[in-house]
Amino acid sequence: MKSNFSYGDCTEEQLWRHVAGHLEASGFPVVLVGGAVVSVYSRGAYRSGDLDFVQEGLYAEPLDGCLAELGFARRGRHFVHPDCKHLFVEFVAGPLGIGDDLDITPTTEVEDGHTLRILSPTDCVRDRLASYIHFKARDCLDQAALVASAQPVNWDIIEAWCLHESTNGAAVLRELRKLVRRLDADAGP
Amino acid sequence: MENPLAILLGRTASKLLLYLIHYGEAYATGAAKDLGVNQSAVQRQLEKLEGAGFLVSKLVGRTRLYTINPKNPTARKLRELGAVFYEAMTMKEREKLFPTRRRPRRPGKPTLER
Repeated sequence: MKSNFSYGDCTEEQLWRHVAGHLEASGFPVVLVGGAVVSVYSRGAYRSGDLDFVQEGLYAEPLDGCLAELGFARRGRHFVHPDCKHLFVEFVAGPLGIGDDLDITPTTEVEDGHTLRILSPTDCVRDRLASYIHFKARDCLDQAALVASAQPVNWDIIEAWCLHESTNGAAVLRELRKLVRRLDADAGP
Repeated sequence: MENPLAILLGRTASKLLLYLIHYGEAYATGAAKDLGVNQSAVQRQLEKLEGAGFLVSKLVGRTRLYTINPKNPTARKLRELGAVFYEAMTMKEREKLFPTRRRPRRPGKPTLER
């Protein structure tokens, strides 16, 4: 499929809209998860370098053919585009879930008649905190703070989840709030 | 009679699950040696389980180390299921299936034959 999409310099958000829109139009709904969600919600302040999608449906069909229409080819677990050297696409195993919480409702928006799905800002913060808690990935705490500072989030849900997820949950939450305060102060009124 | 976990997951995957519960982590060469399973079969199974989200891995030096994915809700359920069978194993069975001590050990400390 020919397209005027600028693969060479697109952002994570632009590529998400392009790819997810095409998949949705072809009958393959997907949800954006992982670091690319941070890129979207932080308006590019964080660059993930990849797009992770969860495909809806337990026995969903492979997407190789549909992505080939955009010029993507499978390389191992990833899909790469010859003109898009800075971003690649990956499909991670479902179902959607954060810790023990499997009741995840993605945020949706309609663009050109297609529904695009992405983790909500609150779930994105929980997802990044899960990586911080379980993988000790300090950068993921920073990512959670970026999102919590840039987007409205439900702090009650985040707090309850943190306390349930880890015995260290209260400390994690304190660290997050401290970082968010600092980011908010840097951003000014 | 094949044990129910092996019927559900297959022999290699079921052994790997118990192995991961016992040691907390696994690398293909070590797990293959301990479990007496072909190394490429273990490697394939680890990659398959990682692709399905049940495991995560990281490189430590030149070794790829796998653990049960603590972030993934289905992996947590799988661990719970595996734990039921792990807890039901006798000490003798555990010693047979997990013969290697993999906890930290001071260099030079003498080893007693087990």
